[in-house]
Amino acid sequence: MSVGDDNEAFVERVRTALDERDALDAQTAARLRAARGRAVRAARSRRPGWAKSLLGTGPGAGLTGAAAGGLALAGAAVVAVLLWHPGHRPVPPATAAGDLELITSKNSLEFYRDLDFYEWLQENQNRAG
Amino acid sequence: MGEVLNVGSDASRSSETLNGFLAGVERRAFRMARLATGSRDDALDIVQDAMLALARRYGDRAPAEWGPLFHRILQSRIRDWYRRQQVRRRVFGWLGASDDEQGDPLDAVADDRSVGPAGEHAQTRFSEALERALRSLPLRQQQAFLLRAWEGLDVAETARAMGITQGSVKTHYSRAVHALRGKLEEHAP
Repeated sequence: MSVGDDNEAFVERVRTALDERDALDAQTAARLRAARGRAVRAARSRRPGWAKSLLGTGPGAGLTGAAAGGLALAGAAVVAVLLWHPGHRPVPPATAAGDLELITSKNSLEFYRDLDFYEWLQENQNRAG
Repeated sequence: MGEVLNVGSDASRSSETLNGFLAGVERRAFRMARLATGSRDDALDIVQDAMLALARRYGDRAPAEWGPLFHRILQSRIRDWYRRQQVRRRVFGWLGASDDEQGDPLDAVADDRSVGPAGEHAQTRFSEALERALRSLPLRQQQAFLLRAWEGLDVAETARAMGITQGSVKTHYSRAVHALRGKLEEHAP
């Protein structure tokens, strides 16, 4: 058996062992379920108000065909004006990496804010020493 | 009465799809975060943050994109946690406690795994030893190994999730396999 095969067999054994220990205690599973619920609700609520009224969430939600057609026509007109107007160019979609920088910024900002304080603390200690 | 355009049901399906995706990844994500932090509560916070960030920022993306995005966010959160631990250690150091007293954050976590009784199944002992071995790996080796070997991401996907080059992924993965084999040698079948 080659080293590569040997490694593959080892990794397969590790994978099996990890899968076997996949079960979670009830409390942890419940907290994960709750976190998932919050995330799904957040995804729903991220839609702007006009979209909520358009899409709706209840059983009676929805638009009549005529109203939807009117809105589609109005939307198409707005897009046409934006494209035609020389001062406006479609904004390119943000890259995934750029988006992710924004996502991570919350924690990073916290971290760097703390870091400034700690660096200030260290400088003062150095001066005192 | 006009035809009703039931767009609401699309939104509902979308929520169900997101819920299904998160349900499918949450356990492994939690285990990966717990192996990295050594703390159940910190791991839960990290996974919750990652779920919320995915939902808020990328909930409208195609579900096929969620996997790589979620893992990238998760890895970012784990790295943030590590940085904060490092800062705390530095601060404790300045305030008079020695590094030895503070130790590695992972060392400070109570080990709540029970040691199996004598004669317990070899696979259980292997699993426990594996968890200890994984926790002892450097973070990047640990996460590269878990993403590749357990989560099934390829080299390119792992590199994107971790924000490192594909060459680094290969190096970390290879070192992790080598280290784990060494640590688990006595449990070889």
